[in-house]
Amino acid sequence: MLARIFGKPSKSKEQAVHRVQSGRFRLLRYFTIAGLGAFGLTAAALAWHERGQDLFFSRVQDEQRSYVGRLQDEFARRQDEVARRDLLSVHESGNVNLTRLFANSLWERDFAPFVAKALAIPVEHCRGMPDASDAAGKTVQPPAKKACYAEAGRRIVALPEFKALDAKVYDSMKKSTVFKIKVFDLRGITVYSSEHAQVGEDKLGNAGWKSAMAGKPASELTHRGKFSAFEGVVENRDLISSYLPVLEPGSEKIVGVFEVYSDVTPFLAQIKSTSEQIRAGAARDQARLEEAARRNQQETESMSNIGLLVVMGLLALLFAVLFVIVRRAETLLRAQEAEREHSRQQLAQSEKMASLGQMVAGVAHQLNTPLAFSHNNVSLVLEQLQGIELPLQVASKFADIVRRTPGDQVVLNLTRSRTQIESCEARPEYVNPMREMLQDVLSGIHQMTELVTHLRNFTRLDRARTSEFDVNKGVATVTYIARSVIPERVRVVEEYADVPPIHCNASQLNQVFLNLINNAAQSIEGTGTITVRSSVEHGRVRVDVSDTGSGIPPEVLPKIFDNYFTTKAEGEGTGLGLTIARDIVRNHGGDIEVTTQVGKGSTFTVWLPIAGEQALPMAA
Amino acid sequence: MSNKIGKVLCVDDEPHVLRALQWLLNRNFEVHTAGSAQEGLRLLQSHDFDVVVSDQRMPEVSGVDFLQQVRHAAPRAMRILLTGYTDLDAMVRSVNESEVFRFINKPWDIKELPELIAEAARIAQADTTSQVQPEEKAAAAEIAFKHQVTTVALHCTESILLVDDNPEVHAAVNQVCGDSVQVLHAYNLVDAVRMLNEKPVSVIVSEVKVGKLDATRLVRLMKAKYPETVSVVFSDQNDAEVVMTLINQGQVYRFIPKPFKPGFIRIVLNTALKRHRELLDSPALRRRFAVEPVAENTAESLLRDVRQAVATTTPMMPQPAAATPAGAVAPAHADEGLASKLGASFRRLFGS
Repeated sequence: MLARIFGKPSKSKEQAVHRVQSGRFRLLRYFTIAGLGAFGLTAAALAWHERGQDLFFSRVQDEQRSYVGRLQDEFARRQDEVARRDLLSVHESGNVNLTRLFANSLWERDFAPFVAKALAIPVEHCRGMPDASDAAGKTVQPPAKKACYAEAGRRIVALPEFKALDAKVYDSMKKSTVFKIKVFDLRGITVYSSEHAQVGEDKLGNAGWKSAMAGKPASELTHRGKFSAFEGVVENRDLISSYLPVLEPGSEKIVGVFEVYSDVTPFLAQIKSTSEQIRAGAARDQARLEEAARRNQQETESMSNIGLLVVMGLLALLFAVLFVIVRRAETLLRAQEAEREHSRQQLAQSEKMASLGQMVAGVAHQLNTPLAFSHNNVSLVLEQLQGIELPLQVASKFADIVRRTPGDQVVLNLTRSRTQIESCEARPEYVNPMREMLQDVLSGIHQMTELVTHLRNFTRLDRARTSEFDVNKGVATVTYIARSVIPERVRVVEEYADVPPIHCNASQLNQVFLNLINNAAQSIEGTGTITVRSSVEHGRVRVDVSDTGSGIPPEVLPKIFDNYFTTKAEGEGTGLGLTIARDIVRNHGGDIEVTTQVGKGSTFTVWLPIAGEQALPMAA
Repeated sequence: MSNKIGKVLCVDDEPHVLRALQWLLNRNFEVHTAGSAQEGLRLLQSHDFDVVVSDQRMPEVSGVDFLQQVRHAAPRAMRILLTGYTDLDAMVRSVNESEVFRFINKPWDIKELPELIAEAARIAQADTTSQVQPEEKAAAAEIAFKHQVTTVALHCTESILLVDDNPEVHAAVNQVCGDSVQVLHAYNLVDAVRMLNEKPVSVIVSEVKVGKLDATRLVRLMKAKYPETVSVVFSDQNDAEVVMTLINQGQVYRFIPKPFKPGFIRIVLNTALKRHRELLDSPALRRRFAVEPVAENTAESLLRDVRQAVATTTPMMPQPAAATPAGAVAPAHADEGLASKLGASFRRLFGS
């Protein structure tokens, strides 16, 4: 009930609280967003890095593998090549030796005369026949030309020495690796071949023949599907054919060219099989390498995946722990905030109660004076009325007698009433003081009524929370009430200008003015003056409360509106008075200012918007 | 004019109050009124008043300040303070500085106030010793007195009774008084009663509360029974009601809010002893400090409380062995003995 006198913490306060909350730093939300973002980025960066490492590792492995593969291939190829070259050169030198042997044993006695005879068989006419080009553009001998050479060959074969020679050659060559022997004369004509059909063929354009003619043996490894050897036709053979110059025994003179075909099929097969083995080994190694690489890659990836998972798990755990801590912190902060707000409200309430108590004491004293003299006067009148009762009885009896008596003369029989009538001491002049006493009582009642009216105006409990309010009336009421609280040595001067009504919570504004006037009174040590002044300035109502008190020191001035700041002794002030005052004024769309001079006094100015000039921000 | 039994000055800034007082007192007294302290002081110069009644709350000069000036300007006049507002600071000053006869709350009783003023007027008229002292002389004398005295000087028959449960206070008073003074130290009301019974005491110095009991009852009873006794009361919790009762029913000489300075106590004890001698010498002066009848059953309630305290907290504070000779042997009997002894002491002290 008492609390309502100043207007309970109403909607405006809730609004203020709400405002504070909406402007509050949302710790948990910001932490969650920032934390999850940061942890997500960290995890992503880590995953990207791991992936890069995996890729790099895999590339390195690929490179290594292909390098080793190339190395092995190269090795196999070289090995094969070298084996073949060795084979060729071994067989060539064998063929050279064979040819030497052959020449030495057969040339002088058998081939030289035969070649000489063959030379006699003309082939120029065949050579004169034009060549043709086949579909591939290669120069080939037309059939006529071939036939011409074949004819020459038949003539050579027909030579009588041919058969013996052939037999000798056959004898010496059978059971050897030599499959075929050809002999060319210096014209390039085949004068002998163990394959008789080939006698007479022209080898003038043959590179091997040319090389041999130049004194240099030439060998070639070839594969033949079908080959006419000494001992019949053979199939699928690897052959080395060597063109070898035949030197006249005892000189360096070339007298003919041998072509020897020797069979290297088993050697080559061996080489090939070795190469195969090497290749197979290389392939095996490669496969093993790839398998190992694949395994390594897998292992690396799974390891990095596990690592990533572990790190992410740890990050998640860290986040969870931090989240719990932050949430606890926020809960605590909120509890503390609520507690602070609660204690502030309690203090504000006790501040109100304190000023209320002070006011009640002052009002009680104010009431006491009219009460005292009224009580005194009424008691005196009551007492004196007893003295008037008897004279009134006498007078009314006398009036009765007069009314009953027609004449101008009345005869009184005093035998019974003399002592009573004589005891009447009351005189008419007694009435006047009694009237005056009662008039004083009336004025005392008037004083008390005035006080009660002011009290009612001050509290405004019987009015709507917000209403049109005459600031002058309100300030006058507050000043009247305050006068009963502040010491007699402090004079209060009121100067009111015409002020338009404002729309406000009168009870709250009264609290503000009472607080300002009380503060002003407290700042005055000895005698002094408080001036309460109203005016209209810049379209706003201005209320000044000036005092001739001690003023506010500069170091204190910035803090006077702060929560809990007070210059009063402990237990005397809550330090909320001015804070509440400013909150109230600001909620009314106004403001409160202070000018002060140490030793001279202070002026608190309250600015309030005129009704209708602006929307009221508060509903309370 | 012959039926007027005294000359009264009423001072208040509220004219209605003055008119009311005039109507009330007119029949029996010659009433003069003043609307301010200044006007009152002017009237004091041209009239010899028996009683001065002043309101406390007045602009510029308060009632207490005014009555203090009256005390010097018209020492014979009895001073009564009227107030509707219990301002503790003003009340303490009304004891220590104004030495008011009574403290009256508004609204007053129309029967009691004239009776009180009549009593005051009789006392004032009977007092022929109080002379107007030139103010400068009085002030000079007081200052000289304060500087001269370093320890409390006692006549051989005088003694001071200190009643307080706080040993520090006893130590402080001992330090102030030295060996030259006989100070009786009572740590509880039982001892206080016993000591008061043994020999007369000039000055009672007491805390308001001793062992949670209201010790002002003892002070008031003593003053009522033995008007020459001077009482000094101190307290660390200042209660206006207590002070008012001490004025009206105890005519307390000084009321001292704790904490106090030892030097101040020395001055107070010296002036209290001086007042005691004056009271012994002058019956008129004793009447000036007459008290209201102490509230009924004060002695009974004090006795009951003290007995209860004895029963629940024996032994109480350090007591000389002589005080409870049977204590060591049979405590239960000692209690009974003590209780009956207390009853006897009370009867001896306060019995009619």
